Amino acid sequence: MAHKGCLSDYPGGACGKCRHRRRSGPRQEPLQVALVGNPNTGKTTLFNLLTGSQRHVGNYPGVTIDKVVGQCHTGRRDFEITDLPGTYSISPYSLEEIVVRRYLLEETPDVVVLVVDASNLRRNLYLAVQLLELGMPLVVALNKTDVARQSGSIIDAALLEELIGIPVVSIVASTGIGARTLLRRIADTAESSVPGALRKLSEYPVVSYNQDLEREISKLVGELAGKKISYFNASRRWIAIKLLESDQGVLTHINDAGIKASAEKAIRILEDSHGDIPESVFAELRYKWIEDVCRSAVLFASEEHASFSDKVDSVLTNRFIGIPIFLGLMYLVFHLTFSLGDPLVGFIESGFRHLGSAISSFWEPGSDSFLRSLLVDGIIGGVGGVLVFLPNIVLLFLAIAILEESGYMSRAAFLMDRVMHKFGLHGKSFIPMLLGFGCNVPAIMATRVMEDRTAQRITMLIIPLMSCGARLPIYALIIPAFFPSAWRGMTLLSLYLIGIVLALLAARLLRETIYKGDAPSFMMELPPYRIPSPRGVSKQIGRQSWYYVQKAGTIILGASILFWFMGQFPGIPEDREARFESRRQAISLDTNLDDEMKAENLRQVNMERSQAALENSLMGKIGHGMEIFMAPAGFDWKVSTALVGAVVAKEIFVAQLGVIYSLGDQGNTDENSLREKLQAVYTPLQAYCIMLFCLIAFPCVATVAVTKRESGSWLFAMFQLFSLTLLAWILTTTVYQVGSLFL
Amino acid sequence: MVETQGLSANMEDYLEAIYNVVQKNGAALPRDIGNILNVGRSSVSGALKTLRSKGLIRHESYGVITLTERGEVIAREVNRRHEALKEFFMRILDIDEELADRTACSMEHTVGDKVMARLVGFVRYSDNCPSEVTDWLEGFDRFCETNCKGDESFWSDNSPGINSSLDQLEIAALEAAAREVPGTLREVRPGDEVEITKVDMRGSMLSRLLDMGITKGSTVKVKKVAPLGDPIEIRIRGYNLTLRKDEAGKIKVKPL
Repeated sequence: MAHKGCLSDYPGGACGKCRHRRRSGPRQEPLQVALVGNPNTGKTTLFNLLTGSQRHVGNYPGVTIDKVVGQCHTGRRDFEITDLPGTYSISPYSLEEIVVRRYLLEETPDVVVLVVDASNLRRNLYLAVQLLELGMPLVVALNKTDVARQSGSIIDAALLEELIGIPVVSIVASTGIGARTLLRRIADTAESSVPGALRKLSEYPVVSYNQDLEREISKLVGELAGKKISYFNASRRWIAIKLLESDQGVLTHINDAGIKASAEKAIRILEDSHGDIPESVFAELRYKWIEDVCRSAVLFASEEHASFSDKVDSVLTNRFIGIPIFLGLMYLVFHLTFSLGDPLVGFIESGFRHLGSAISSFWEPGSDSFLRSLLVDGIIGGVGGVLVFLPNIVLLFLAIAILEESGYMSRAAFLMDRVMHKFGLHGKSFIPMLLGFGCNVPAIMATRVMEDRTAQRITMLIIPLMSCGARLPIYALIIPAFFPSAWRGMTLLSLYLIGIVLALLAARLLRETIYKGDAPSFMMELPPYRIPSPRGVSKQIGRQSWYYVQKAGTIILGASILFWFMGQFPGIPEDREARFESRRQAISLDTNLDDEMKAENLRQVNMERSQAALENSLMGKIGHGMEIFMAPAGFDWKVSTALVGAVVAKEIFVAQLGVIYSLGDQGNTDENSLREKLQAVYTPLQAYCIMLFCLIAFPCVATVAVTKRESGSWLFAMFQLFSLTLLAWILTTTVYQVGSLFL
Repeated sequence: MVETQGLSANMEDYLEAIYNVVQKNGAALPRDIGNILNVGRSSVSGALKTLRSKGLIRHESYGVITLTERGEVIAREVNRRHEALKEFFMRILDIDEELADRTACSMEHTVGDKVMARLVGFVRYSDNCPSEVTDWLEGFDRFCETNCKGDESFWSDNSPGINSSLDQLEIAALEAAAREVPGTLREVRPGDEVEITKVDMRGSMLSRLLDMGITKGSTVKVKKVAPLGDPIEIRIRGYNLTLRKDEAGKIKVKPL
């Protein structure tokens, strides 16, 4: 605060004598404020409360975690608030923890606001101790004091502040209580500490450890000082403690062999005297300190009080009915997603059709204009084909958001982990995999909630094996053509089951090969149930749906144009074009035909022309080129060409096949006549192989794009694409070759 | 016979002590029980925890303990045996009250129903046919005075098996106690509360557990096991956490 004689309020500018800045004025730099806290503490709610809609979403270098920054103003100061990912600690093990730690050390925010869940004070304060030891200028925002009060504990914020020595502000982020006070205390803290640098406060111990530990700490501090070793702005005491804790982040940064040897020696000494490694002892003493603080500052806590959550859990995770309820809920999610979504899908579909014909009407009917074809077939067809699923996807996101916000997602993981763990996955893999049967895109986005990154990556890799809704039209075309009605259901089921079995086996294989080194762990908080806030849910849906639309507008648009181009160029050679033209003229001049017959014959010629155009196009050539590789799997160039088209979206396979068998282009394919043609050309074994290949091979463009986005790496997305395609080829070839021996 | 299986002699003693205090005062405090059985506070609270987990006692507010219906039935049965044995020792064998009490206390857990019936029958018989039996008992007393002066040696000379049977009883009691004391968090039954003695892990897994508050000396309650039998749900430091049995198996615990 302003000291005696400070002229900081003087209208001419900042105080010349001291570091105190001017109290108001447009040119003052905004205060850099970082929000940290455990997951489920209402950190993001506080962020939204403070910044409103002014936010910017970016990325931390090299990782896929969103960096959300927003602004906030009071009469006194401007604040730039960064919402850091939720973490339980700043040990450098999970991706979130590394991000938070690096941000705090490298960006050195002016003030760190730790959001603490008052109803779960003890564990939340562990992060406070860690941040204090790091010497962060800290303000504690004590959130959910209303929830804590309901469950019977009242926290004396003033006493807590006195005990831990940093500002503590009671807030209720969901209603906005305490926000003003919080901002005032943030500004106070910033102005009382040296701006832009970590306070070296933590040379002064936050927690005084026992004699043995303190002795080893000061020995190391002395050695660090002697060798002038530093780690960003962190205090030597902190570095010494981290060395004794064998902290990987600090160890990899410090290259001095001498200090490492001393640390190891100290660790051995301490381990001998305590019967436990120092890391455990430090944590134990920190928690003891916290328990002492809480004993004084928490006025009344009724532990034995059976909470609302326990009562709900006695039903939802019940030994007998827990799993049936879970499966029932999942069925409900699917049922509602598709029964409510499909009418809207139809609505959007017809919207795009009308748009297409409206644009077509600028040209005269039957025109060969490339622009018309590009707009109608390429862009509207491609992007529209993806956007029509928007209602389904919004509804799926709604369901996920409700499950996540209410706290049920963790329970679902708790229920299913046993099964998933067997295959190297995590309990939280189950719901994304299930969603994959609807559409792989939201399924891959749903893996975001998994903290276990290894399991998340494996889950992302195998989700395309879940047979999504877009693959159903392929099965629906082929199965009735080749299999007797008694076998149709079984054939369809077999495809879904093959997908599931392959997914689980692949997960197991990945866990035992590529992801072998990562110790699988399943530590998960089961947060208390709560009613999802409509605001939080709608924000989440809005963000994810917008992201989906953006993808449709960029990558998918690009891919649609590319594939349209591949399907059009280089086009039919001049002489053949001339032949089609002369046939057309012959028909229109033929006096023996009535108008109806003429139209029919013209249509026939146009279809043959489309077929010739596709065969001559880049895509057709690729299809021809692929035949050599695909022949062992029983595919000819026609199927191969259709497969190339299916990369944009799986259901396009059917339309492409229609064009190739010159039954007309997209939109007016007569399925029954196509079936007859297929029956004449392929055996049931070949047909099954086609379906098998469509099930496994290359995820659609949207899936690849979303995998790239969620994994942050093209390499990963390409690995998914190629390994699945290879798997499809090997399996299909095996089935075809072995099947040919017997059939 | 009332089903008391699964209760060690030790536990029956606690139950009986609670029963007696409740009979006298209406309710019991852990302190009273400790005084009666002459054991420390921690043993009492450990035993009370076990009894509560078996649904035999209730913890009321202010630390007051009462028996559940089931607990009372078992306690009454144990007490009935105690009284019958004590009466037999005092009236038939002419043993002083203090010793009779003590002996009854240890025998009540092991004597079967048939032997009990005979003992009670014998006492009744002696009540109903005073003349012959009293004479006979007086004769017995005289015999004892002359022939079994050193009671202990008379007994042990004639039945060398006693010590080994006692040893066996002790071993059984120890085994029963061991069954009640789980070694790791994995073996703790849902509903039980234990104290962590060591987290036997290294590396990032250890850091994770420590960060979540699983440290030496903290109290954990196992809440439930997932329906399919693997992850378990625990309560620690006022919040709920789930972990797999593999991880729980590396967390050493002891009863509170």
